[in-house]
Amino acid sequence: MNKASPEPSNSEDGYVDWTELETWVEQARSGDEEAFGRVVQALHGRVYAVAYRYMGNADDAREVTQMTWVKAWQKLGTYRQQARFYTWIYRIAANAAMDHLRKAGRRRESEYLDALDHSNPPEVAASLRANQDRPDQLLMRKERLEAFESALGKLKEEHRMILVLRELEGMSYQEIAEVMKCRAGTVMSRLFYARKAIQKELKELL
Amino acid sequence: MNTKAMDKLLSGALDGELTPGQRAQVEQWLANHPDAVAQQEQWARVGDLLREPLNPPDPEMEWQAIRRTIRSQAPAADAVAAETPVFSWRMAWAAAMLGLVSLGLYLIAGFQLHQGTLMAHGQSGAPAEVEWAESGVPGATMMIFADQETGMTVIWMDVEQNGNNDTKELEGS
Repeated sequence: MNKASPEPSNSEDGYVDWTELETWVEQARSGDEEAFGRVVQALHGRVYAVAYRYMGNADDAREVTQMTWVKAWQKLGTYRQQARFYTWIYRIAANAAMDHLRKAGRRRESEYLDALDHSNPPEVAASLRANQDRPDQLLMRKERLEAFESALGKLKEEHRMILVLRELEGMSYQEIAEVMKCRAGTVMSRLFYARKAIQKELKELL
Repeated sequence: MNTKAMDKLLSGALDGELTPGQRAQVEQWLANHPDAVAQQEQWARVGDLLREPLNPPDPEMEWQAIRRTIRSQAPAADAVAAETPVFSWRMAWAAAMLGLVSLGLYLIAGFQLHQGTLMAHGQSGAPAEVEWAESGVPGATMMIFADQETGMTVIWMDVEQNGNNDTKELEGS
């Protein structure tokens, strides 16, 4: 289990003990709400990061993340331990994010552009704060981040989700295929097209 | 191998998802194509951009919000789960009982109508008035009744012959 787990990234403390987590999941399955709370808090940052990169803004990402955990609690009885918990939870998150986007009927591109109209969206600002660059470097980074988020928003939904799961969660093609219900070969192709599209969009900014 | 197929392999190589044979192909390609090296580096930077730090909400605060949602939905869900089957069963039972009663009434009415029709056509085996009389013949019984269709009085006699009942119409008037 631990060997197959992707390296933690963007989580609050940067580390998740998957063995302990499985114990909490098991307790939560028998109705232990507090144990479920521990699971939520351990993985919340990671699920939020995936949701944010997919949705493109903090409000929707927060909503999708909350929906994911509420659905997970409701469906916990259907979770079988033969499957990896993080694969299971990301599947719920991916569905919740795609549902949310479709229900809202929003145009990703315009949403991104709207968001970028604000001088420093919170997430971009957070990223900029994390680095102590010179002002000209900060400006370049800001431009690059904004252009990147715009390019990401223009990707097809499935391509974007696959790229996020691979790059953010370090999932293998097989794991992504399980989450997205497709073949590993399809994952490989979609990743390639996603990278190509972003590269084309960003050009010299990369 | 064409460039597009090789590009896919270059992307797969970034993810460490190639077979040893494919890896060897990619390494050979990279050795002879500096532009491919640059491309791979650019793709790697896409990953770096995705992993830029975010500013996620406080997990504990979020859990409080999630727990409130879970708790607010739980009673409603329980109520629906508890009520829906009962409601359905009641409806099903009511419908079944109604169906049975309707069927019963229909059959009874149909039977009575059928009997009435038979009576009207004189096909009923049960005449209005029947008299039983001594026939004076050993082992025989006699039945006298008025045929409603013809208005005649009919006398039926059952005569036992060699252990068998033989019914004969003897007389009409």
